[in-house]
Amino acid sequence: MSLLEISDLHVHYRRRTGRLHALRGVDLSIGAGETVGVIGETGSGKSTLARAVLGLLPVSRGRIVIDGEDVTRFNQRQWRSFRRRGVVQYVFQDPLRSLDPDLTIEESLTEPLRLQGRRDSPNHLLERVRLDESLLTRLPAELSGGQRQRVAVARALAAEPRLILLDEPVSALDSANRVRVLELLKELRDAGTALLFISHDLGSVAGIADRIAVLHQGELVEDGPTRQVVTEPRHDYTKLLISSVPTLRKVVPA
Amino acid sequence: MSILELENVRIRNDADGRELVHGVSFALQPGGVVGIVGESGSGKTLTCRAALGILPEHFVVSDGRIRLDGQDVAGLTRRQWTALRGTTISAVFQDPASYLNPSLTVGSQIAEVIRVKRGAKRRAARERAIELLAAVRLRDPAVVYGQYPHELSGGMLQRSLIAAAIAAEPRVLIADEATTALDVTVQAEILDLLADLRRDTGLALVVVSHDLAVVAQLCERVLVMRAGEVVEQGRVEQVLHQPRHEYTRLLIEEHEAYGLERYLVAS
Repeated sequence: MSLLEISDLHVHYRRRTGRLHALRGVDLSIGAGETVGVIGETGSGKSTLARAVLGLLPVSRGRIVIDGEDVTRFNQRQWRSFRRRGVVQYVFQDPLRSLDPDLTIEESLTEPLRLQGRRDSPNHLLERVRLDESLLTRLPAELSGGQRQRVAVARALAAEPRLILLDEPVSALDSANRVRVLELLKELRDAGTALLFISHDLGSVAGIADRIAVLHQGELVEDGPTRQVVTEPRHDYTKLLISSVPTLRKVVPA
Repeated sequence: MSILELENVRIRNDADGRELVHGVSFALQPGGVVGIVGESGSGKTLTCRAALGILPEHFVVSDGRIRLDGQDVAGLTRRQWTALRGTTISAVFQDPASYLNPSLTVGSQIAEVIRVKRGAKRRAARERAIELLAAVRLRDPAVVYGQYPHELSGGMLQRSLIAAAIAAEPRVLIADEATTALDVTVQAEILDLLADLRRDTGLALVVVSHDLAVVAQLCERVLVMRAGEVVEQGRVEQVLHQPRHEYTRLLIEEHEAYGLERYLVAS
């Protein structure tokens, strides 16, 4: 069974100028342990997709099922209790948004452990993201961007989620930190955690995603194994996207 | 003769005495293209600003020499700098919207450059501005002329700024992270546009980016900067295939391990 099953998902926004159809019939499923990269540019609907999966906006039509639970019509209270189960965790582009600025790293990491009814110290979480325990007493503002993002991943790991939704997790980082976070995500993938990696940058997703899905103007125009999407794109937009990504090699069209 | 030449340029913040750029040298031939790769804090933007004579307050070129079209810029007055900017050296930066006045039409701001820098009459300036908007491949240039910045997409704004930057026919254009904020498909179009301008008009380019692949695509020679230091410099093929510095290897490794490269045929 799929961990995440999105079927015929439509999201409309009401605007003064009329209705904006942000997602049009998106079908996407992620199996246990699978890593799927969703690529989209400005206006593609990728942020809307992330927000819908997080229960942050009303779905106009279609269904979202997470770990067998239909969350499409959940109210806020149901979402809260569902989130507490910790099946899905989230990591955003800016870790300052997911870490409380007034809590030390230790407090930030202890909280989700307690929610799971665990009494142990968060040291093992820091170890998994290869950060030194000396950081435990610091505040988020006292860490570098790369360290903060790794703490955000550590926090997501506390609940031992089966699926992590990552929204542009490396876009704000410099090269060295980007590589470190991507390495970390690769380890999670290899350890069997499913990842939904949403990004505008195919270049940062291709190396770890088993599958690539391409969103264009609210529609999923391509969905396939990474190698196939990169070397034999079917949709015209995917072809344009692949040929636009700057690479260190000349792109040889298939 | 080089159109732009930097010789061991060092840049210091006089407010605290710290040196932020520790010696940059390169020579750009007319119609040539050089790339600078580096992350924030590497000194790449300060280096560009020194070449444009627009270092922030308290920042000075503390050592070395910058020659623009053969002329040492050290002794230039404000007025002389103003005369050179636009006509000899020009630039586009990351966030196009912040370089345009939101309350004036895009076209009128380009026409203004042509009137001031080229002494053109109002009508001729307007015609030339529309030609330039066509030259940067904006569809319906006459329509874009009359539009306000908020009516244009990021890619259209950056094209308009390139039109303004080349309006006074400079010989060097610095593109400092000019495509970073754009979608990758739009970035590819802008990079193509810069390459075509170079080929068709002999405009020399300095392409600055945090992404080695962007620079590799356009440039013949590349400088890799980190923390104010040029850690590696040479022909693009050499830097890509025989990187000597650990940092350059990291930049390449990132692409090889996580980018599309692993799926593509080696060139």
